[in-house]
Amino acid sequence: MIENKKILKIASLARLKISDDSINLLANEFNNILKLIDQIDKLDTSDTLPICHPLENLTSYSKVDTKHVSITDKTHRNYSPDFKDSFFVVPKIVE
Amino acid sequence: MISLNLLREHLNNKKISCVELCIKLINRIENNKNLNAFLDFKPEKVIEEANNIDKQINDGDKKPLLGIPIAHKDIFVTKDYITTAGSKMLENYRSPFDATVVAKLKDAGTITLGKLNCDEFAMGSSNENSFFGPVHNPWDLSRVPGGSSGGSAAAVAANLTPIATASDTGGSIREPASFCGITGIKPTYGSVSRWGMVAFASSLDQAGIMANSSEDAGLVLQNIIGKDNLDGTSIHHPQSNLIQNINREIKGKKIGLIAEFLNEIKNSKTYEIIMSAVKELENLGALIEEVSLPHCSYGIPVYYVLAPAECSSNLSRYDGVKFGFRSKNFSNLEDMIVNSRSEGFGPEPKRRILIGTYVLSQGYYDAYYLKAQKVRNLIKKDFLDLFNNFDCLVGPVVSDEAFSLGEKTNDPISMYKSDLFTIPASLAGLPAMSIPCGFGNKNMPIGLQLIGNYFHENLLLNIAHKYQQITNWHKLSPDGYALSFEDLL
Repeated sequence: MIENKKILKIASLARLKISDDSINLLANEFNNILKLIDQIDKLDTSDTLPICHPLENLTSYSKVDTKHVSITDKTHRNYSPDFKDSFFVVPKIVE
Repeated sequence: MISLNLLREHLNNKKISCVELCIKLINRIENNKNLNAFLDFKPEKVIEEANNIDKQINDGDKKPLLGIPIAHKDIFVTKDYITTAGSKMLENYRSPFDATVVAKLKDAGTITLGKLNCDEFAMGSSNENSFFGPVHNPWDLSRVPGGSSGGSAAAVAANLTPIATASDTGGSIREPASFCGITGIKPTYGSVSRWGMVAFASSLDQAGIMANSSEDAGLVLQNIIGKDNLDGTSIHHPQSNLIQNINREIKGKKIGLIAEFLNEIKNSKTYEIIMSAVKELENLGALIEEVSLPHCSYGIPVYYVLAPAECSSNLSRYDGVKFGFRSKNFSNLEDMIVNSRSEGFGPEPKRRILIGTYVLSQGYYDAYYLKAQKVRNLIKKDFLDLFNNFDCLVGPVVSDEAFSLGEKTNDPISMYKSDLFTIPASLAGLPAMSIPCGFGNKNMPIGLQLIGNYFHENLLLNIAHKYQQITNWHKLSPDGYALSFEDLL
């Protein structure tokens, strides 16, 4: 059973704000989902290796890097709210 | 229902031009806006492209899908259309490039009709999680089309497009295909590039196709499979032609009927329909035997550890800084990030981000994430053991017909359980299909699931095609949405 305080801590790690009027409902849903996923605890997996990908042995993860033209300044300008001298212009956040 | 081969033949013989075809489909899309299947849709752009394609046809161009209309799930980025992924976070997002799937289909000659509604970031089983409102099932407008590729399924079922792209993480192609009575295929994990496909859970996400028949699905799928240097997780597919043997007899093929799936639907109409479809496969000469996937009941718990974990990581890129929604309400950088994420994400992505953050956090990683990765291996091994003796596995896609809009929105667990039969193949990365095989008590479509060994899409398409040659379920359209070639003239 996860307490509201813990959920607020997790939300803070995930950079999400939880409103006071939604925390109880969210905590209830959160705990129900944990009950569901806790079922995997029943299984003995001491002799089983974890897999992070279904085709682990078949996939090559790296390639040789080659220089090529990707997205040009012209495209950046067309798709950006503000773009100047090859840079994106963003709001000032440091005084 | 009009087959792609017939459509190509009539386009090549000039019985209809691409412009004429597209005008008819544009009218159908505009007249059926109540389905809410399309998000971005630009008729004038479609006509402009159709004119170009007609010139190519007149010049004798032989591109394999020249003039075939298609619509893309709004999870694939497109230069010419806004890409939202069904989220407020990307409400006005314009991509400077096309996803590889979109680019390959353009190269093959398809013409894009527009972008299709979906659950937010492809998270959902009913399409009710879209920021842009739910899609309605054309078989009964009060029911869901399934999700997350609900717009794709509804658009194909309502004959607004003959083909649609889709994506499947835990069943997002097969479940809506089943609910809407169409054919959907999720190929082997990694066999289609995900460059330009908005990421949800990277060890599971896979692009695929929604169509009116197995033959149509194969015809399009073979144009998007294969290694892509822009996606390091894409792989070479040993079969470049997926339909050359689609007419081959299936006599002697060993098909396993998944006992655990059947036990869940015993004494239901779905059970009767699935068993009747299996009988048809037996009549075609397939050898049917009941088989067991002992760990498949752990699929949902494993999935709801791994998918949220990967989602929490993938969705961390949405911070209001680089692209996407930015809150207007902030006084410092931290506030801007927190408020942008809190206002930009809907309830389901937030729920999954929180679960994912929790299972990956210090002290819980081994108990949840590592444990789930081990159980995933057990599920995969169950499948591989069966494929030593069987060519294909079959069972239901979903335990029931499409449910009513709003029926499960307040109960996430009940919604998650909709994917009980589709998640195991996704965890194992196997190719799987849904083909229509009957109607349930509420007169809604029901799908048969076929699961194959890695890279055996051609066999799945072959078995599905042979079934569709002796049945008519895939030819049926909802009342008021049927379309024949004569209707296009």
